[in-house]
Amino acid sequence: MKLLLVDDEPVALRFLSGVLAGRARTETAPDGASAVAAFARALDQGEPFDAVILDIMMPGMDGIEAARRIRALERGRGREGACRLLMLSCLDGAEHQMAAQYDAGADGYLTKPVDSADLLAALANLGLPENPLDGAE
Amino acid sequence: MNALLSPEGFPVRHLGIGEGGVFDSPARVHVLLGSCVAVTFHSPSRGVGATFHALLPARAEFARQGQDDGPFRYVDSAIAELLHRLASLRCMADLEVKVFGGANSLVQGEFGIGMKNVRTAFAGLASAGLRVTASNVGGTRGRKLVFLPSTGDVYMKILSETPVHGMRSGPAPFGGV
Repeated sequence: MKLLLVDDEPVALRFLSGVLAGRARTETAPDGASAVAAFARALDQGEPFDAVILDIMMPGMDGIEAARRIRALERGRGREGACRLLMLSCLDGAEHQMAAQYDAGADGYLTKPVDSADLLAALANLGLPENPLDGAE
Repeated sequence: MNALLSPEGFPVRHLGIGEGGVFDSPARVHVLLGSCVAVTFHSPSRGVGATFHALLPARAEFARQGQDDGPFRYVDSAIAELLHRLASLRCMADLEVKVFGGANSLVQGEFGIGMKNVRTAFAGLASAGLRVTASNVGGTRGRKLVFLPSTGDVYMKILSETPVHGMRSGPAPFGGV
């Protein structure tokens, strides 16, 4: 499992990297533009990310615009929706949660603060590494 | 093995359209959603949870003449009803709230009923001063939820073979649309 973690707060990136240590290969990016570039690079190298965890409020390109561009990159490669996009933001309003998911193509939204259980449950619900309902009645 | 797959299990309750309730004892609540919406509520201090399976956004706009649909067919009245019940159980101080569903029909576009359902849910929760800590909404596929009211855990799976085709007049797949 290969994940891209995107946040301008080093503390947040350390938290995410720590939770995912031993569970996934991770790369980090400090803003939306860097995330889109890393996503494109991974596609070019034939090693795409399985998921991207995106903050919203970041300098320069925000997380919602980055999500849109990542989905556009996927469409351009015939891989629409192949990568799971999980938004992770302190912004808890309807406008952000709906814009991220209805407009930008995010697969889910968590509001900060989150604990490791919240994060791992959200990833599992997106099938990473496997969905908890697989095999359940 | 987690409670979801435990051989002992919890009593299972399948919520169809227009159903909902408060659960103050362990249960496993299954909900199948297309454009419908489920909001889950959980009070960690009380060990109580609640949810509903609503078809349409607002009672005032969509209520059927001469029919008693109950509170859970419409998102706005479902939220009001559950918050009333949860308040009577003194669960409001630490409610955790999550929103699911609202898939859009492939032909309905941005004005699909799924988005209206979700918008109504967020508005109702905001007006009650509640913060939505997680959501999984939109897209064009159905969702299966398993909610454990006593813990607040929500297990969810996107139904990859179930595109939403908008509102149906007849029986909907999996009991939901």
